[in-house]
Amino acid sequence: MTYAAWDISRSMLGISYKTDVLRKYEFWALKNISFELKRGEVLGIIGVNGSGKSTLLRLLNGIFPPDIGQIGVKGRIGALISVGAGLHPHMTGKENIYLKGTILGMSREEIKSKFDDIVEFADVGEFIDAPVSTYSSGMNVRLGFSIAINVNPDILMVDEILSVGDLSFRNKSLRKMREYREQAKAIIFISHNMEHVRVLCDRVIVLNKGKMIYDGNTQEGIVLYEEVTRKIRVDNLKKSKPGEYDKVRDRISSGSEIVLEDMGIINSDGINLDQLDCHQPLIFTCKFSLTKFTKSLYFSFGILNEEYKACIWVVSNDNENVIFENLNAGGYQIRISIASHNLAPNVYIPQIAIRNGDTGETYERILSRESFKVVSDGNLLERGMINVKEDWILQKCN
Amino acid sequence: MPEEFTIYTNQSRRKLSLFRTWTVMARNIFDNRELIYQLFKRDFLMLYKKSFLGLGWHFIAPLLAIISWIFLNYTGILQPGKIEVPYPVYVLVGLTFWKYFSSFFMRAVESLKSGSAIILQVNFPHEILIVKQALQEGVLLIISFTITIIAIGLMGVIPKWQIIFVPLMIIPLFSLAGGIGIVFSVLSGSIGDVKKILELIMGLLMFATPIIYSLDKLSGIFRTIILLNPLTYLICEIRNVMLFGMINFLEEYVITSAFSVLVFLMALRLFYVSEEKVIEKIM
Repeated sequence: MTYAAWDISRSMLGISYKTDVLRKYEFWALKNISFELKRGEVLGIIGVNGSGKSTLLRLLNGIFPPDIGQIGVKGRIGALISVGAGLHPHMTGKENIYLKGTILGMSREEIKSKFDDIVEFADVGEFIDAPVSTYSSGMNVRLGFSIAINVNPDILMVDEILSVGDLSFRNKSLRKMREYREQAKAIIFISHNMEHVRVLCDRVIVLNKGKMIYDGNTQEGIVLYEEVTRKIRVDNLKKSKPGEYDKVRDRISSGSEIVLEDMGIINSDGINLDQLDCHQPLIFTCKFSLTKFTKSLYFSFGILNEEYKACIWVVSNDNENVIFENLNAGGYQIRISIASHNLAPNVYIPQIAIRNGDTGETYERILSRESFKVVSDGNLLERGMINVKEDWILQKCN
Repeated sequence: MPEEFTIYTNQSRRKLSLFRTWTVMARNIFDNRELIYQLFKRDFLMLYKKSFLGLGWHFIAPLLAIISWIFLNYTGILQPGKIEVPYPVYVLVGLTFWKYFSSFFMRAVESLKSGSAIILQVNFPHEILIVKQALQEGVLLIISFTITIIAIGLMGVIPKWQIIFVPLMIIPLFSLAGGIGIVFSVLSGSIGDVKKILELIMGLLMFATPIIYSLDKLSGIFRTIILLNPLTYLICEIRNVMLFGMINFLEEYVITSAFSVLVFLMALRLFYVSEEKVIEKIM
């Protein structure tokens, strides 16, 4: 804030100052971003929240100037950012079309000529003469979107809007964007929905912490983006609430029979991993010590996803009847190996339970903090829970 | 339609000459007149759509204020000095223009902040937000001015014919409020305290302007302070012209007016070169 006052006074007084040097507590919201967008191209910009997507859009839109460098834009640029904004609840749909249309840079005649298109696209029917406050949230968004998309700019910027509205409206929007592209207009598309990005974009830019870490092929960019988000998600899972033991997220313990020592995902050489390739065997180990003689033990092991749904769940005495009997007090290590886990790329949390084979009572059930990610060596996307090799056959039936 | 090629760089506005700044701003305002109208309509006409009294709210507050001044006057606590018209008339006319000055000033200060929703969404010349505020306050002034004339008429005071100069005399008042207001609007965009401080100052300033009292009885340091206050001339001389058909301090009035217009023109430049720096901080 002090900087703000300082900068403003300086620019008012016409004192030139450097904007390419950071002061204390300042950071670059975006740095070294350089790209070109051609006509008829759909460029996806992906990145986690806070990576600088919106700032980039605002710079492209000329809402504030860059501190260094320059941006050249040819033609009218139109933004679909927070489409609901700018609609006034007490004004009717019709009045709002004129208001928002003007805000977005259309002339009165233009709005008049496109009015019917806008109303039809928004699909609000007779509500067009009712105040917007009486609209459902869906109608509100549809109207906002419809006005914005009918501005017909040369470069359309779309920020996370396909997540709103029902299926038919989303389809209509996708069709409209396709039309745009065919008119050789450029689109900049921002979304967290990788499926839309994959289908719509010719090219993607991946932003991470204000830096452009990728510019190129859509599929590869998405794989990279998913990789970046997995890293963040794994870190978040690891650091949430502190437990008694730093590798334990949640623990149900029945008593003092078992003292837990260590656990985690390892590779075949016994080294701890926090990432696993799709085709690499999954090996989990857990070290514990028994405080007294125990007649029999069995284990159950699970791999949960971020929603704590079990993706894998195996129990040692299920079919093979692996029961560990007559165990003296002392240190032990259980090791579970799954040769082909088939997990799709994603973030996972291991869980293990140690139970008494005689009584079935649970000694320990531990949800590990040692979450890990499954990554893809190829171009596998985060889809579903498991990986399969599939064939597709289309037959004509009559 | 030829496509325009726009380049956004840092501090590009500073390269414009002073005179070009004014022409560019005037051009922007003209080009965006439809937007000004739409925003005006949204903020002004819609403000009272769900209210019984509607625009009436604009007059209730000052009316109550006037009643309290009159009350204070009759109880003898307030000694306004020698006034040749009924005291309510004197206060009413003074407050009409004071109200215009103070509310236009505060509106101008808030213009960037209150428009932030659109500012962050669309690229448009932000000076039109100030034009919209000015328009809004202008309309309110016309309404309250009309009501004032009717009210003083009911109290038996007929304004002098020199009242026709009032619109002209509004210009310096407008310039001073708008000029200082837009400079502060840039600061207020990033520093929240600015508005609060200015509100306090406006409260004090009202008493440093001879609106509810007359200058005659004052002497010493207070008189000096009041005579240094530009509003003493800008507001009270409008009242003098309206009620008495004359200007008390002609020379001072002309100087302050010229000064106000100059302040306004310079403020436009300050606003133009600095406001884009504040946008990224307005969020």
